[in-house]
Amino acid sequence: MRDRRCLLLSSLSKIRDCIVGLDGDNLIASIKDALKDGVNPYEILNFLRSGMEEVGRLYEKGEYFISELVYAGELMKSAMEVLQPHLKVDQASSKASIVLGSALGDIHDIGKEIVKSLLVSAGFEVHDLGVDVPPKAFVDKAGEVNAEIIGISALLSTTTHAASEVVKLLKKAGLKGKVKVILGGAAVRDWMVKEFGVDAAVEDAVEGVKIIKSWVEGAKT
Amino acid sequence: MNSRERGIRAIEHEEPDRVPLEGVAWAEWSFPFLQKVLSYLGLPQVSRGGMLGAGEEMEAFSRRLGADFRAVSMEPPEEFRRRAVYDPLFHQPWGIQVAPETLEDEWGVRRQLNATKTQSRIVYHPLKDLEDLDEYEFPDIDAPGRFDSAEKLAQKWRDEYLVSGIWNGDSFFCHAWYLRGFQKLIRDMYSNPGFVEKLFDRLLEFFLAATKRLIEAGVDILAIADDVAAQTGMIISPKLWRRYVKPRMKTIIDEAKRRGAYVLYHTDGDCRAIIPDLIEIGVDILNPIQPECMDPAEIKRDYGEELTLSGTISIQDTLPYGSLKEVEEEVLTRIETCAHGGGLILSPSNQALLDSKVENFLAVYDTVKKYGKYPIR
Repeated sequence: MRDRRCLLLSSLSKIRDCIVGLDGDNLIASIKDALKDGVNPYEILNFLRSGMEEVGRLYEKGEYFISELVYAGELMKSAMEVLQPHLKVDQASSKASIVLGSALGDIHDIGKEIVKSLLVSAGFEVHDLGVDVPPKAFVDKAGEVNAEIIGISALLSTTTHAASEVVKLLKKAGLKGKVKVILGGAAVRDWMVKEFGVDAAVEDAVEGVKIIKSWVEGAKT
Repeated sequence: MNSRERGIRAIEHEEPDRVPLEGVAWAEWSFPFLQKVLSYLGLPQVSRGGMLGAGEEMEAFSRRLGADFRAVSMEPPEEFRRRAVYDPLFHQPWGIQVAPETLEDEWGVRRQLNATKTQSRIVYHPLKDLEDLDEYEFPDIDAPGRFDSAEKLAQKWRDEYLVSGIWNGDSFFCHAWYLRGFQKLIRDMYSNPGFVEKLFDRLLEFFLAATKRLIEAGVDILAIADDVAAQTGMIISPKLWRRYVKPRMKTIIDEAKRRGAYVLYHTDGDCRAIIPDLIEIGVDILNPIQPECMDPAEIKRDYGEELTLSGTISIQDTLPYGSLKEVEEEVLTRIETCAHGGGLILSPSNQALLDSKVENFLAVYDTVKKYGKYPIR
């Protein structure tokens, strides 16, 4: 029994190490082997998520860069394609629902894609509206899917202002307070929290994901 | 001392008569702001922008700013331009209209105008699903008309100004992901390196020929623009950059140096992780050094003996939100901390956006002209 547990831990650690070490060649084979050996797919998922969290930590420490975050996200996507058929829907319930998009007028999406990939990896249900998204579309979608959070990405100073319009429309729809809004991107500054009425404003994608996780964890305690 | 001598002295790390001034790019989202500045100054509106700023019709504007440099650019060949339309709101302004508000550039990249009609986004990457690069036909660098305007303008300006020349906006990393798609290129860099090596070799072939032609046309400064960094650090990791980009950039720079040109490197964001590499391969000028991302005084302290700093005035905070006094203070701080011994060229640290204040933009230039005289007190 103990040997079996060691074997399982070893194969799960290998999967986690493949994500952290960006070893795409061995990741899928390791997952398939583990499934064949009868490892619980939810355990595999937990180890994959733990690997993604470590990738985020390495980014914060300055050891990894955006390219590593992006590739780890791509590996996670490939891993989920293998794992998904083994996961039952009721057990895979999401942490929270979030509507994501780049602000009206903004066509940049590298930061948004990183946030999306980290959130999906962490078990969030992400509704990605793409780039150049009108404020009303954020609010309509949030109402439609009962989202807890709206994430707006804005690289340029000229497009950050769209967040204030989203907040106004949320108030009008009676959703202010129910739906939190986070604004993220290179030109985003702390003063925009007060000025635009958003709940958080951050420059960095990984920092933004940490805030979103803290909101959801806070709400559940 | 004319502008050309002023520029050369600064780049050679000698003190000229005053800190030289550079123009900025007026492409896509900055183009509407350009028209606003021209109206404010009572100058005629212009029909063309440009990645490095100064087309011929902007000459009066460049003179009003006191810009000490002029810029020329390679263009698509004459045959392509005959079939294409020109729209300055597009990242590559020359393109064949393939759908409403959608242009296909010479490389096959399609861009569409956004909802607010201020910039374009890529909607089609021609190499996205390609497995064999030999199936893709690269543009012909020798096609007639590509360097005509660059040659005409460089010859016109080079007695009075240092002339920068740029290929066509972007270099290895950006150009490769425009062709392949961002996620796909990153994925390839890890899992399909053969494809990336071949793609970058083909780009090298094209850019190397373009470098030779631009310098033959009369360009003094080869400008290599490649946004490899974001606000808080590198986009492409230094390891990947050193593997795929650095050796090819070195080949280009060696050629430019052999032909007597200076080399300017432009990347947005915080690129400190690769600055020693840039110096090692021969970059002379680093642009735009956004002060929100890298402290210009720190760059001067650490690399000022080898590098000339270009840009450095905040376009994310001071130009849109600052007062005139704050603009002046920032310019004066930069002169105090970065101008000693030459090696500083001042300008806004990127394209100015429509929310910038016209008075603030002009104050950058006027403050340098007023207080940027050497010896710095």
